[in-house]
Amino acid sequence: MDPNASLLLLLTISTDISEEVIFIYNKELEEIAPQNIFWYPKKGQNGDAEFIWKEKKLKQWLVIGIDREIKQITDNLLINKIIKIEFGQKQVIFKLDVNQISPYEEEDIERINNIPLCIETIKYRFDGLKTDISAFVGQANNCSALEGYNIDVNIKPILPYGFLPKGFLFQNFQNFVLGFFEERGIYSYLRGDIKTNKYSDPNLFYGFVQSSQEFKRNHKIEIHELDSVNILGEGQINIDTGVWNLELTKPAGQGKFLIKGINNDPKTCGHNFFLIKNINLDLKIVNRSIKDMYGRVINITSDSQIKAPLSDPLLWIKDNSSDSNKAELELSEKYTEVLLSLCKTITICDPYLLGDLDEDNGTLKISKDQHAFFNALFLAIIIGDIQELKLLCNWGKTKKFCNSDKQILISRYKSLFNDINKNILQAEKQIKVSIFFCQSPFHDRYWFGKNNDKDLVYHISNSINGIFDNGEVIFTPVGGNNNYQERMKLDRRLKDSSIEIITNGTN
Amino acid sequence: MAQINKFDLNKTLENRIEEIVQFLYDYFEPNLGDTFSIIDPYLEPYSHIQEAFDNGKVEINIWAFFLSYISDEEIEVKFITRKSLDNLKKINEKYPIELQYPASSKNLTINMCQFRDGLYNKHELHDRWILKQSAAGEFKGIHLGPSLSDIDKKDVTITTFSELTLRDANTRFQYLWDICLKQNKVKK
Repeated sequence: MDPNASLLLLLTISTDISEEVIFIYNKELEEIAPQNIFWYPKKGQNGDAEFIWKEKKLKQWLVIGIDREIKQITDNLLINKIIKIEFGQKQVIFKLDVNQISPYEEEDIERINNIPLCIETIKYRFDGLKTDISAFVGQANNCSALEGYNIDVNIKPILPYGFLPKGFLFQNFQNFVLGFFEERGIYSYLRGDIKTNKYSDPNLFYGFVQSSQEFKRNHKIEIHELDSVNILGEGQINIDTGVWNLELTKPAGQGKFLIKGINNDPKTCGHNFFLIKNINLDLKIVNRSIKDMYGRVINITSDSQIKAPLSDPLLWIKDNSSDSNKAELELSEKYTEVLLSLCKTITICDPYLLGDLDEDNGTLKISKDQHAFFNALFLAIIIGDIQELKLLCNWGKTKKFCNSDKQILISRYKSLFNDINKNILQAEKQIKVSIFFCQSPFHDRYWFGKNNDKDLVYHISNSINGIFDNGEVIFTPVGGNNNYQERMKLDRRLKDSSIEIITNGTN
Repeated sequence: MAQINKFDLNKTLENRIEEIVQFLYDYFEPNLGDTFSIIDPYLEPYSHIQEAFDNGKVEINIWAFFLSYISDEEIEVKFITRKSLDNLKKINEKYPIELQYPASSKNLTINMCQFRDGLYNKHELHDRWILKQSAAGEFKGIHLGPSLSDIDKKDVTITTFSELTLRDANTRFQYLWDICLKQNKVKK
């Protein structure tokens, strides 16, 4: 009997009325279907599915059945956007709250013109999805935890384990490609035998094809040149084991791999291939490693890292992380990305400075917000190119949230940055810091820098000390005339300020 | 007592806005529990305040700038204007309309009422006032020359008054506020 089983995986956000579908994966299997459609325990059996992320009301539903039955559920969702499924006395409504669902095709360098891939997956993009999926879009950690490649105490992995490859959810959620139909295909792999020619392309190839004996009998392997129809080699597939071996007429590091029909079988499938070769390793001497403020080990090399300027707004939302510690780490990582793009001299304009610094028995105490920022600054100085930091504030506003007077606050900032300089000295880095106390009032928060002679201005939605309470922050690049105007305003305010040198950067 | 913030070709509008906001801030010394009562017939709630916050253009809109500057404390602000409240993203639909304050601070409660000239009691609005009553019942206030949103190329005269006059002005504000609320009930 031919395989006829399909597996359907749904992810839903549970509401009082319905299950709002946010992800569909229908896979045809190499198995015989059970007699009756089967919903897995806690994944839909008796109409019940447990939360896999309780806070986000996320559930996984998993069902196996005959191809036709499972496809019908999928089609109902994709075409009608709703399906009501009866589980005895209980009815569950699955709804897709979306404007439009359309097939999604992306450029695939593996695809050969007019030849199907051996495993085809039809993808669907959900345009105008109204269900909130912000916890997954751009959220690599959350997606990885769902895939099962990352442990998160709040998020259970999708079953079966390893169903989705690493990075799959992150990549597809970003593009709102959330529907998949994987047809039953021919699983195969190809390898070049690099032992034959260690430093150049191989001419011996081997691989494996998984399929029925009849298929293997009626097909052969061919390898063609990538950019022509010239055949470099062809061979049989072992009917019993599925293994094949080829010796090509000349070495090849890339080409077309075809499983070609013979004996009047017209079915042919295949793909382009590009071998990963031995390359000369660009050895970066890791001079030393350091621990950041979260205890992570960072290797320092001799090259400075510079990030590209932000082209789109960069957003951090506290509630998109599964817990507060992860949220803080992710915020720190966003800061690092922004700071590395601003390069050598960074000016931060915030009426409230970076917040108050408390002291307890001679030890400086910093808030969660400040911890995230200072860790990012620490890292960005060490791995990047930052040499100077200017902080523009308005004392009239800063003092509202300070427990100490101006001189005490300044001395605490000096102490903090002297500490930072002592630590970064081991990486042969130092930073110069000044505070500019602006006489005139201002409100908006901006960060300024220069990347490859390009003047950068980022608008920040919140003061650094207060982001956690607020729960979100957005960094928005400012271009055009506004960029110029803000820089001119900055120049005026800096001139209008009294300056306090916090550290010259010489330890 | 009067002060004048003069139109000056050597100063940008931005400079003057900063000066006026700083003056107002220093004069009023906003504190927890204050109530500000403001009449400006030409204040446009959406474009002068809410849109300025939404689009990050606080510093070029004097009302938004002033509000953001006093927002470190829990303060109530009442506005009477002749201009429409229709474009506002509102918290409520009853009068007075509560304005959604999207800035990082959630300290300000801003209530707005549109005064419809010629209705109920046939009052019309003209004067511009900013009045403050502290939690302890003390008054501060100023009368303004032009509307604050219209200071470009104009001198801004700021007049302060005695406590007695300010109490009187505050009483008058409350009277106009009640009329404003009644006008809007009648309309509904």
